[in-house]
Order: sequence, then C-alpha cells, then structure tokens
Amino acid sequence: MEGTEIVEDEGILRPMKCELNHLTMPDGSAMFMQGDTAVVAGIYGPVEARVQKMMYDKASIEVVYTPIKGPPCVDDRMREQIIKETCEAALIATLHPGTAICINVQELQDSGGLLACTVNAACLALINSGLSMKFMIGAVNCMIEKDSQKLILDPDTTQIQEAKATFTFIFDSSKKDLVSCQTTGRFTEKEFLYSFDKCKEASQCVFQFFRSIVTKYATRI
Amino acid sequence: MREVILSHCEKNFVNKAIDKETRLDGRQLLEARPVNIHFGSNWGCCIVSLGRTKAIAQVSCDIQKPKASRPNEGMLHINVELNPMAAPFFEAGRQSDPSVQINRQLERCLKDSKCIDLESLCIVADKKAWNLRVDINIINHDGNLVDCASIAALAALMHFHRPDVSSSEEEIIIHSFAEKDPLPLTIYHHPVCISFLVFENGNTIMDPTYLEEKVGVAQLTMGINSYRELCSLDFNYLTRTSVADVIPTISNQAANYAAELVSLIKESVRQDVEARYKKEVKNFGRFENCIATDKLTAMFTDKIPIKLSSWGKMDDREDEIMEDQKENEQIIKINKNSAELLLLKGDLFGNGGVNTWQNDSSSDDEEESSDEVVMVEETKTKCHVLDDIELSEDSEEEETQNMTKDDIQT
Amino acid sequence: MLEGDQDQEEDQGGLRNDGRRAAELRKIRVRMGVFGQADGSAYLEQGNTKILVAVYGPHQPRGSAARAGGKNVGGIINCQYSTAVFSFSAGERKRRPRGDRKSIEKSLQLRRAMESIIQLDLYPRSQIDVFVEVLQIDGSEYCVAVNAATLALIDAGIPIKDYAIGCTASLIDSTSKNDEDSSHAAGVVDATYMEECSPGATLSIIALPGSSNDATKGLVVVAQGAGQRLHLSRLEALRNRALCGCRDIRNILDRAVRQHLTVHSQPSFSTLHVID
Repeated sequence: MEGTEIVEDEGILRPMKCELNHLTMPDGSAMFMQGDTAVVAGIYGPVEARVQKMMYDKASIEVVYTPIKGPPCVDDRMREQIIKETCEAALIATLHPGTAICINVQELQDSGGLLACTVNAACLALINSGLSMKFMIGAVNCMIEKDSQKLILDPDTTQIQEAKATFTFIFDSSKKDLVSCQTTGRFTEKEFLYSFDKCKEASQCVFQFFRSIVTKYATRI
Repeated sequence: MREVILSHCEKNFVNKAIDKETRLDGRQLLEARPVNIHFGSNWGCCIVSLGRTKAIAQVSCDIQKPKASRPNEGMLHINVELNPMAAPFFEAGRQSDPSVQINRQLERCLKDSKCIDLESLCIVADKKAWNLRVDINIINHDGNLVDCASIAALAALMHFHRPDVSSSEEEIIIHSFAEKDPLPLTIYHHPVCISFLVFENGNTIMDPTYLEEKVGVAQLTMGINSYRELCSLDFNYLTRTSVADVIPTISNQAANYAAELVSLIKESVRQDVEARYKKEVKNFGRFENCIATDKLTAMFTDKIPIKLSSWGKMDDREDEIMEDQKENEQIIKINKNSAELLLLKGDLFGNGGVNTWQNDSSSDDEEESSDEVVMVEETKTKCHVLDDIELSEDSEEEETQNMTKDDIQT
Repeated sequence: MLEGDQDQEEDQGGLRNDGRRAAELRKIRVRMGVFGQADGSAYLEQGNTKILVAVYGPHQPRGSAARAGGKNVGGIINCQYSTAVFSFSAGERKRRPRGDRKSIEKSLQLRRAMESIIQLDLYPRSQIDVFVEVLQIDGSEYCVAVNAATLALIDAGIPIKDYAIGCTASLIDSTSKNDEDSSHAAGVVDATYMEECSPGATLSIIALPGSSNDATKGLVVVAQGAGQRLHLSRLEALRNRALCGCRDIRNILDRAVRQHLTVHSQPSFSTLHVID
C-alpha cells in the first residue's frame, strides 16, 4: 500500500446497445454501442481464400478495420492486428482448413474506448455468424486519472483527456484469462495489476450481456 | 473472393418477373425503396439506408493551401470506399472499376455542378482555404450504391458545420465549438442521384437491387436537383445487347422523385440541426436510433454500476465468488434430479458448459419440477431466463410464433 | 475571360468563337495504319484534339484483364486510356498519364463502347487490346478517342457491327433564357475546350448511328453529362443535336475508311507482281 495511493470508486460501464444481424450481406454482423462509441462488424466465413494467404491446415483470418474518415492510418492497422490475434485465439480455425474468415469492422463514432468496442462488436458478430469458438472474448477499457489517481472504468472522450494511462484488457469467457491487452501512458506495476483486476470484474458484465442477448433469441429459434 | 456468378435460372426468373411488371420485393417498376437517415453526434455524420443498402458518410475539414488554378476557392474531396463488409468481393483500399465509377458519378453530381459555395471556404486567397473531405463507406450492398452514397453525401454536407475562423493579418484563429458557434456550409442547390435499370425486354425499373443489377442490360444514373435541373448523367450498357434509349421516357419520373427525396433529406437535416441548436438532451448517441428496438436480436442495457473493491481486498472478492457458487449449489439442492442443466442455462452460453440445446427425453414430473427451478432462478439472480425455455416438443412449436419476418431477414 | 467570350459571341452573328456554326463540326483528319507493329492503328484529329490508337489482337489472354475475366467464355477487351503529360494547351502538365480516376473511368467507358460494336462471340477465349493515347486536348477528347478506336479496329480487320461514334453537344450558357430561338439554344456540337469549360453543360454521347438517314434513331450506347446544371426540358434538344453530330461524323469517317481501303488494297486486287 505504499507509493501512489489508488482511490476507490464505484465504476460504471456505459450503457451497451447491440443489434445482431444488422446487415444482410455478411454471414454474421453486429452493431454495437458502448455509450456513444459505435461500431459495426461483419463477418464473412468460411469463404474461399486467396492463394497467397491459404493455409492447408486451418482457416486464415483476415481483419479489415475501416476508420470513419480518411484512409486507414498506423493506429488502425494496429487495431486490425489486435483484433486478428484475439480472434485467432478464440476461433477454432482448424475446423475450416484452406478457407478464409474475413472480419470487417467499421468505426461509426469514437467517444472513447474504441478498441474495446471493436473487439466486443467483432465477438458479437462472430457469435452471430455461428462460427465455432473456444470461448467468447470481451474487452473492457479503463483509465487512471492524472490528478486524483482514480480508476475510471469505460471512460468517454472528455474523461480520457485527463488520463495518465489507459488500459484495454481483453478476456476470455471460460477461464477468465487475459487474451491481449493494450496500454498507453506511464503507470506503475501496482496500478496495472489493480486495473487488470477491476477490468476482469467488469468483463463479467460484458459477458453477461453477450449471454443474455444470445439467450434472448436462442430460446425463440 | 470472386463474385458468385448468377445462375441462368435466377436470371430467367427475374426477367420473367419483370416481364409481368412484378418485382421480387413487391415494388412497382418505378418505385424506390424507403430511405432512412440517422445522424451521429458529430457534425456531418450520418448513416443512410436505402432498403437494405447502407452507407455511412462523414464530412471532415482542414485548412490547406488552395489550388493554384483556383486561388480563392476551398476544395471539396469526395471519396467512396467500397468496404469489404458490404460484399465479400470488394477489396479494401483498392481502386476497382465500380468504385471509380461511383466516385466519378458523385464528383460530377456534387462537385462539378457547383452545389457548394466553395468561395466562402477561402480564408486567405492563395494561402489558406478549407479543404472539405466527404468519406462515404458502403457497409451493406443490396444494389444501387450510387443513390445511397449520394443521399449520404448530400445529407452529411447539409448537416456539416465547420468551425468559425477569424483572421487578423498573418494570423488565423480557428475557434473551437465552445468559443464560437460553428457555421453551416452554403449550398446553392441539392442534387441527388437517381438510378434506373433497363431490362432485355425494354422495361425500366427504378432503384435496382443487387440481384436486379446483375440481370439488367443497361443502367442509367441521373443527378437531378429539386428544380428539375440535370447535374450529371450516366448511361451505360452492362451487357452486349441493344435496347432503346430510355432517357426521355423516365426523366420526368426521375425529377419528381428527386424533388421528393430532396425535401425528405432537407426535413430530416432540419429537424436534427434545430434540435442541436436548442441543445436538446437527446443530443448524443443518435446512432442508437438505428438499432431497431423491437427486434429479437437487439438488446439494450442501462449503465452498469460495478462495485470496485480496493486492491488489498482481492482475497475477499474471491470469497464472494465462492459464496456465489454456494448459492448456486443451494439452488441445485432444491431439485437434484433435473435442475442442473436448466438452472445454469442463462450462464451457460459461451461458457463452455454442457450443450443444453438438445432435450433429453424427460418424464412429466421432471418437467414440472424443472419449471419450479426456473422460477427460483429468476427470483434469485434476476437473470432473464425466459419462461419459454421448455422441454417438451409440443410447447416449442407454440413458442415459435413470436418470430417476425424482420428477425430472420435483417 | 469567359464573360468576355460570351460578349463576343453576341457580336458574331450566331457564330462560335472559332467561326463555326452551332451544328458545324471541326475539321477532321484521318490516317489509318500509322504503326507497322500494331495489328491496327489510327490517328484522328478533330480540330486541335489529336489522338492515336493502336489495337493488338485477337491474341491469347494475358495480363490482369485475363485474370479478371478468368471464367469468361467470350472474348475479352482490354482498354487503356492514357493522356500524354504534354497534352494540355496552357502549359499545364498532367501529373500522371493514367491511373487516376478520370482515366480509369474513361477506359471503362471505352471498353463498354467497344464491347457494344465488336462481335465478341467470334473470339472465344481471346483478348483484344485497345490502347488510346491522347496527344493534344482541345475538347471532346473522349468522343474523339472512341472514333479513333473504331477506325483502328477497322484497320485491324476485326469485324464490327457498326461504327461507334462519339460526339459532344454543349450548352454554352444554360442559365440564359433569352436566346430560345437562336441556334445556340439547342447546344453547339463538337465542343472545344473553352466551350466545355464554360458555365453551361456538356453531353457526351457514344452512339451507333446505323446506316439509316434519320439522325435521331441512333442507338445511344454511352451517355454522359457533365458541367453545371441543365434544365430537363433542354436535354432532349441537346441529345438530338449530339446525335446529328454523330451522324455527320459517321459519314465523314465512312468516306475516309472507304478511301483508305481503295487506295491501300488496290495492289492485292489487281496484280500480284507489284513491287514497292
């Protein structure tokens, strides 16, 4: 308990809104909103793979992230990579050898926590597409405020401007393990572990949301 | 991935339907699909859906040196991106033939027709001018991308407000939205693209769908504003056949519909902008309106408060989890025979548990008892396990009536 | 500058800046078979617009066009529209000869026009290349390119259904209402660069005029309108004006082709031992 003091507070996840099967062309799609941050994801797969990217023993996973304005920049490529690696961990790619699974994500609006929102949208779209997954993936974004050292869960754009460090943790749903994480800014190890712990707790709400939406329609079909 | 080639059966089917003046979605030949416009919380951002075709547009601006040939004018740049999400045969970041065609059609319709007052976007002649950029992403492809993109572009441009600038000599101050109210663009007239498709037998349809686009033999796109003025025209043969020129016969219809469409766009932009000027509370999160609330696959939550225990109390929390589990166990104890599967049903999705979708052949008393367990579960954990989780085959059939057409299709 | 031009126009007694009447074409010069290497080639001048076209084929499909139309059983037409960097008059330089949106669009439309006249079912699984090089621009360059490409196809001996003829009709100032009765009201044919840049509208039409003498019967294959606003009521007149232009161009080109063939094919018809 020495060094920087972390102040406790009650965290709040912004309201989540989601619609599965938002688009007609993709095999699975979802529009997902966390607060004002909105993202649409669409999955095609398994489809015919391009010769260069074909793998004989498993499906190749391609991710395309499109920003709302301008051509994709380096940050967007990084986001693509994170989604790709996360989804590779979750999907059972060996079930569809020699094919491709294309995950497309379109940003609609960024009001903080865009990466978490994209990952969650991708997971919902994967659920909707019916591809076999080992586990669901859920992401939670949090930040540590500069002055008060407070941990804020799922901050919006105005809050993020006061951030000392931001974290995005992506968890799996079965073992509740960390799948990947992305951080910005400077922070101590303790702060990291603390926010990890909190996000892990919050991720259960995200998974609960995923489950409840599936329960909502799976019981009717 | 290559585009799937349409089979002869499908082609013949569509052609025969058009022969009988019937369309697969029940429209008249010269009837367009409904248009929906939703604005985002930023200026100049909107989602437009034309039937199932969806496009999202965002206008952005920055300050650049104007072109040497036009030193006292701002610039307008239009970019339509065929997102691979819209269709599997679109490739990201590649200039394909259809994308070039759509881009050029929009450029001709919006840029060459001078519908935006670019001179007012100049700040210092030959030095600084606003550079407007309209990014249009097509996210779902169900034919007639041009119309959808043009509606999105026009709505976004009409909705867009740029930050105010004040310039003293040598210095330009860009005021943030908090300092000075942003300014809308000056738009002289409002052109929209209206597309038609001609079939082998000479019938012309308006607003073709994806399937129809692949069967038709000639396409016509007219950029028309509400004053019946033509801003751009494109007529192309898609396949090697010959049909008569259709422009004279349908231009009247195009102009009438354009006027209708423009007034629809104007009205929705006006409503949204006025609401913003009044700073109404629903100012944020407008995209949520795109989500159909009544759909089975849609879901909303309110804010989820999470009690954060402090760093040192990690162990306590684990105890809590243990307690939770005990609670669950207690429920199980209520009915040991059958409860286990049902009880956890809500939690089991995606959790790697036992597959609960297949019903075991269960006897009647087990069913009754399991119902009880569901009730217990609901009251205890407030989890929305619906009552219609039923075991017997008969009741399942009854439950299926709740599905609507939309749930399956969109 | 433009306003000055229009003032002049009033004084010219209905003549255009270059002294033409509204429905008058520019001087057309034709030369076919300008390259030895290509299977067919043509050089066409319409006023100061100068265009060179080479046609190769039919040959085995290769390159990107073949890959794109991989499973296509019929013939493939590959068109490339490129504009020379020195083609502009006012010392302006074009940055790239091709690959920009306008060039790609024009290649696409050129291909559509060519597809409509070539009897592709005669060439299954083969490819025909049409390369267009715009040497100098003075208006209507796309239409002239189509005319030149048609000539090059004829020179290559590829069977075509009809001439694909392009012609522009331009309304110099669509906003002025006073000259309803003057000949300019229906638009001027074969617009120059200055006329295209005027605040009016330009309609480019690629048509198959056919051999009938009724000009308005021509089959429009590609039509494209650009420029500023044009009231719908004036579209029909403009279109007819352009179709009349197409007919005139067709007649001129037809005569040129026949003349070319009589001059160049005479040796093979008459004697076999002509040495040149």
